[in-house]
Amino acid sequence: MIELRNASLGYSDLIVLQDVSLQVEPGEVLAVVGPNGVGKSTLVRVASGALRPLSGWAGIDGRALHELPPAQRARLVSVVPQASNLPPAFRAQDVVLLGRTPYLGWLSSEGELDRRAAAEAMERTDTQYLADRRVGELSGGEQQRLLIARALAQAAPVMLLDEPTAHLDLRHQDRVLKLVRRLVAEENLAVLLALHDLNLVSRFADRVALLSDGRVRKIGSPQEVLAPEELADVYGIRIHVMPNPLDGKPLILPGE
Amino acid sequence: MILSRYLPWVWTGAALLAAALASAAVGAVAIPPGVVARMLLDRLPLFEIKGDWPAAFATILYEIRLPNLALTALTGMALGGSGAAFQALFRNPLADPYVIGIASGAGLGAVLAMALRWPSNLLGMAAVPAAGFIGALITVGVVYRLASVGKTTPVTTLILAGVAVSSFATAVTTLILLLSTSELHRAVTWMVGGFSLGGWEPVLASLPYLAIALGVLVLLGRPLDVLQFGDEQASQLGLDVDRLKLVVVITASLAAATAVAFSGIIAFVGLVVPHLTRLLWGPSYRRLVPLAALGGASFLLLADIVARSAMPPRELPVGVVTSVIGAPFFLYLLARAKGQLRAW
Repeated sequence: MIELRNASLGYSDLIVLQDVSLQVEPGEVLAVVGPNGVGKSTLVRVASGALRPLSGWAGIDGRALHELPPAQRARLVSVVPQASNLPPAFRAQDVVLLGRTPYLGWLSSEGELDRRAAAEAMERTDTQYLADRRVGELSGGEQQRLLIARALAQAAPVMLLDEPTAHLDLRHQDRVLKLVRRLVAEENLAVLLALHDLNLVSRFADRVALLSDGRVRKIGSPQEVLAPEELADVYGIRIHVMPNPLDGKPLILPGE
Repeated sequence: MILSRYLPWVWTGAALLAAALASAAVGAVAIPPGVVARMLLDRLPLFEIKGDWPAAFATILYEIRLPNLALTALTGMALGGSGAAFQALFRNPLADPYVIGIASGAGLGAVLAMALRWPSNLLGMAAVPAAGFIGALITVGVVYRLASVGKTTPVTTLILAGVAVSSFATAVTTLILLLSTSELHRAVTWMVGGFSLGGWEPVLASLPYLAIALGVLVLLGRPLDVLQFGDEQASQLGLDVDRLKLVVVITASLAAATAVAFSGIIAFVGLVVPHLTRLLWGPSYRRLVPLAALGGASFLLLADIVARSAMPPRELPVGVVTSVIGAPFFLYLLARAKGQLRAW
C-alpha cells in the first residue's frame, strides 16, 4: 500500500502541493485530476520516489520511499511515464526487458526467468506482435501499451501512470484504460493514475482525488467528487453532470 | 537468428585483422601482407613455415611495426570505447573525448607531468597517464557543470562548454611548452597525435589502465541502456543513476586520458566510430561499447596508414588525418541535429 501523509510536494524554491494525504489500496484505481499545472505529475514523481517530499511522509508498506535503494523501490513501485523521448532505435522487446532492471545487478544480464516475465508482460498488454519493431516506428497508443508492458515486467504491486491517454484517440484511450482495469483485477495492483479527461476518470476510477490551488480539494468516489459545484469552482467554467445512460456513472458536460 | 547475433563480431573482427595486417605491411620498407601473416604464424608453436624473407624484415616487424601497431590499436580502442561511453552518459551523439574537452584536459595533465621530468622508464611512463587522468576528471567535472541546464545537457551548451574548457587547457599547455626547455619539443608532435614514443614500453605501460577502463565499460552495457531513457525513468526502473554516472565518468576518462598520454590528442575517433557502429549494429550499448572499441582500433590503424604513406618520406601526425575525416562528419551531424535533435 502506497501512502502520502501531510506531505508538501515541490521543489526547493516552489511548493506545488501542500498537506497531501492519500493512499492507494491493492485492487483499486485512484485517479488524480485537476487543472493544468496543478501538480498531478509532481504527485506521481513523489509517489515514485523520484522526488522527495519537502515535508511530511511518502512511503510504501510503512517504509519511506526515499530511504529505499532504487532497485528495492522499483520492485515495489513501477511507473508508466508519458510516452515521449523514448530512444527511437531500441527494439520493443528490449524496452520491455529493461523492466527487469530491479532484479538484476549492474553486471548481470537477463536470464530465462526475466525473458519469460517480459514475454508474458507483452502478451498481457497485446504488444507481442511489436517485439522486433523499433520504438520510433510505433504509434502513440502502441508506445503507451509498451510502457505498460515494461512496468508490468517490473512485477511491482503498485503502478503509477502519468497521463497514459495523452495524445491518444478515443479508441486507444479506451483500450489503454481497459487494459489498466483488467490488470488491476487480475494482479490486484494498486494503481495511481494522473488523468485529464473527467469522463474517463468517471468510467475507470474507483476513487478520485481532485487537486486545486495547491491542495487536495476532495477525495472520494466519482459520484462524490465529480459534482457540478465542485468542478465549476475548480475549473472556472459552468459544468453539468448527469447520470450516464449507459452505466449510471457521472457524465460531465461543460458549457452553458 | 543465431548467425545474425554473431555477425557484428565477425565483421568487426575481420575488419580489425585486415587493418592490422595492412598496418604491419605498409611503411618505408614494404612487407607484403602475405609475408607478414606467414612471419606471425611462424612464431606460433604449431606452425613450421620456411623463412624465405630477408632477415631485416624480422627486425622491422617485431621492433618497429608491431609495437607501433599495438599502441595505435590500443589507442583506437580507448577512444572508440570511451566515446561510446560518453555518448551514453550525456545521451548525446556529439559527445566525444575531444569535443567535450576531456582530451585537452588530459593533455594538460600529461604535459605538466612531463614538465616535471619523470624518468623515462616504465614507472615514469605510468605516471603520465595518471596525471592525464586527473586532468581529464577535472575537465569532465567542469564541462558537465557548465553544460547542465536543469537535469539535461543540451547539445549546444555541451559543445560550448567543451570548446571553452578545451581552449583554456590548450592555451595553458602551449604556455608550458613555450616556457620549457628543448626536452619538451617532442611533446609538440605528441600534442597533435603523432605516435612518437616507439618500442614496447608504452604498450605495456598503457595496457593495465586500458584493460581496467574498457573492461568495466564493456560490462556496464546494460545499465547504460537503461540510462538512455533519462535519469528519472532509469531511477524508477531501479538503477542507482548517480553511482552509475560516477563510475562511467571515471572509467571513460581513464580510457581517454591513457590514450592521450601515450598517443597525444587525436580528435573525432570517439565521435565517428561509435556513430557508425550505431548505424550498422543498433543502439544497444551492450554491443556498442565493445564494437566501438574494436572499430576504433581499425579506424585508427587505417588513419595511421594514411598518415604514414600520404606524403613520403614525411609522416603526418595521425591526429591530422582523423581531424580531416572527423571534422566534416561532426559538422554533418551538427547540421542534422538542428532538424532532429534525437535522431539516434
